[in-house]
Amino acid sequence: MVDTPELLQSLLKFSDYTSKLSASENLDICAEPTIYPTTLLPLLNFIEEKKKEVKCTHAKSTTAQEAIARFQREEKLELPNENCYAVKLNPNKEPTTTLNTLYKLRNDQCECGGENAFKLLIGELVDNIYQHSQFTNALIMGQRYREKQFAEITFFDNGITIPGSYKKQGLTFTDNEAVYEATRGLSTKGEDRGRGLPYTIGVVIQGLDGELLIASGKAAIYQYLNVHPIGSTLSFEFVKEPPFKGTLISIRIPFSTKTIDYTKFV
Amino acid sequence: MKVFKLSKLFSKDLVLRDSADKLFDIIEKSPEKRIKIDFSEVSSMTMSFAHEYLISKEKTQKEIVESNISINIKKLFEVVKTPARPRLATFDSIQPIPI
Repeated sequence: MVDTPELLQSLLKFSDYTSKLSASENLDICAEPTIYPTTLLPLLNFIEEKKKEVKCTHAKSTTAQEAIARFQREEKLELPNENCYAVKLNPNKEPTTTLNTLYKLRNDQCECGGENAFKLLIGELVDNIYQHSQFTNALIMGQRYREKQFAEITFFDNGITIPGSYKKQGLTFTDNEAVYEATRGLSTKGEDRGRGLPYTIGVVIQGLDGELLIASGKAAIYQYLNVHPIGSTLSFEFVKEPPFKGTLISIRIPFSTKTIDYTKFV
Repeated sequence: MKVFKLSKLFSKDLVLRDSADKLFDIIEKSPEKRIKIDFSEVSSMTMSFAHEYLISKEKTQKEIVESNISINIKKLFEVVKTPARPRLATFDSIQPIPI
């Protein structure tokens, strides 16, 4: 049995919150010192769908509560003092101007592989959401953690999921197989397509020495760099129900990563 | 010759595959036979945009002239033209999550 990666633990925390919210009208986040984007984005989707409320009376967490309330009202959220940038994607609108907010996550302390690699990484995952998910709600949040020296960026959509996308094209896989095939570049739209996700994984794992979690349907796949030169995969399965409807991709990038030549990972 | 400046038409950062489709829809509707695509101020482009751009450029009957392509963007076009390498990360057994 392997240790549960922290990114997956954050997702499990979301499941814990939804269990609490199912039994109550609101959720108190006072006790939480940190709520990572991996927990927060599916939670925001959940409270919006179920019309629940997140409350807090603790002084330190009031900022989180305010940020949640603001992000529910507005299309984008910029909190430079909190090192937090978040955007909502509009299914009927080009996301280019919206993404400018997210690009601010990069700064002198957090290079994220340089401007080109970072924008490509964000762009490929955003294009995937538009191309495949049929979302009505899609959220992206990036946050820098100075003390922990990493940035976490989460992409969440409430669409048809990766297994659902393959199924629509007549390709029947288990949820884990489907997510794994997507990471290897099997496209639902032709042989020369499907390079966006493998490219992103290559940049994150090999180029930026980061880690990545993909959760879709009942599957959760975690990729990280270890002794194997192109990284290793840990595969998890939610035994009962998927934790949410849609797809979540979360990445963590160490602050120390300098500018990379992103073309090496294509 | 009709000129289309991508940074004005879309953005400095070209993201969506559909945007490349839209570009060529506009080009096809143009009465001009010679079209200039101006890449000035384009700072980034996804592989998805680049791939769709190249496919549409191959298909069109219009004469396409490109200008002001930065080294980065040129490099990306070259990379997209090359066949993808299969990526085979190691795969461990599936761990059940009992929730």
